[in-house]
Amino acid sequence: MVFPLYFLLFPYLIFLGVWAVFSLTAIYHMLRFGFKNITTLLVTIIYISVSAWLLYTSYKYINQINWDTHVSLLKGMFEMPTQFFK
Amino acid sequence: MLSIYRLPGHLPNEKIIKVIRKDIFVLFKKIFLGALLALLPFFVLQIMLNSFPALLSGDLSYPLVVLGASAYYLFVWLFLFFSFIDYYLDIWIITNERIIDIKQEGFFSRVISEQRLNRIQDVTSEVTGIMPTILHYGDVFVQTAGTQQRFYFHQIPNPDKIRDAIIKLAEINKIKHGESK
Repeated sequence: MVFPLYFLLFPYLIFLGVWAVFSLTAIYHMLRFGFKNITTLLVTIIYISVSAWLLYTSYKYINQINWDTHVSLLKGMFEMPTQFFK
Repeated sequence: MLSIYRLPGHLPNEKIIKVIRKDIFVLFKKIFLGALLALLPFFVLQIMLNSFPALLSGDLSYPLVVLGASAYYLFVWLFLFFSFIDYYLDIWIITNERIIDIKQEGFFSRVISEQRLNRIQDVTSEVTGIMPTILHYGDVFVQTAGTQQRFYFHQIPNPDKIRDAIIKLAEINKIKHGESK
């Protein structure tokens, strides 16, 4: 079965959408129901910063891949690695 | 945001005596689990590379590894943040009039319940297990008058002291409201 590589991005984008909804809900809970103090603010800023870094790092790696390539899903799938028999 | 000066349903002359969260060890356990989950892919990748050396150069395998790793780490980070929220937003507030239980249940549920001190009939503390005994954390059950549910302080530090404080405050409150014999 041959398909363009960018098909893999669809489930990933769905995951990102769900992750964004849960993240925004968590941030809302933190800011709405957390105590009015430095801990609430600091933890929220750390979460947003690390999330931004993770998304940026992901983007950097994802951007290096040629997503227009067509790949075969079953080709070579049942070939065992040679070192299994050494 | 919640302020100690703006309690839910604030009563006249009500003062906060204590704000209690679960023991910090409960949070450390989740952080430790998060750290293990963060390190796990490195070990799995090493094992996979031994069997499939072309894993990081394949036309299909490399994009799968990149997308999988990205989704995995975003999930672990969200799990850690939510573990902190669960710890941070689950609080019990003891005032001179009542005890308030504020509970974050999952992502979309938040429960606030309260119990007047003058309705308290029985307070029990319970420490079970090795770590709770060593680190002095456990549960406190507050039984109130009538058929209402028991109030439950879960995995809090120094449960014996909290039990004594609640009993003392309940006695004072009953005298104040003229209910003590």
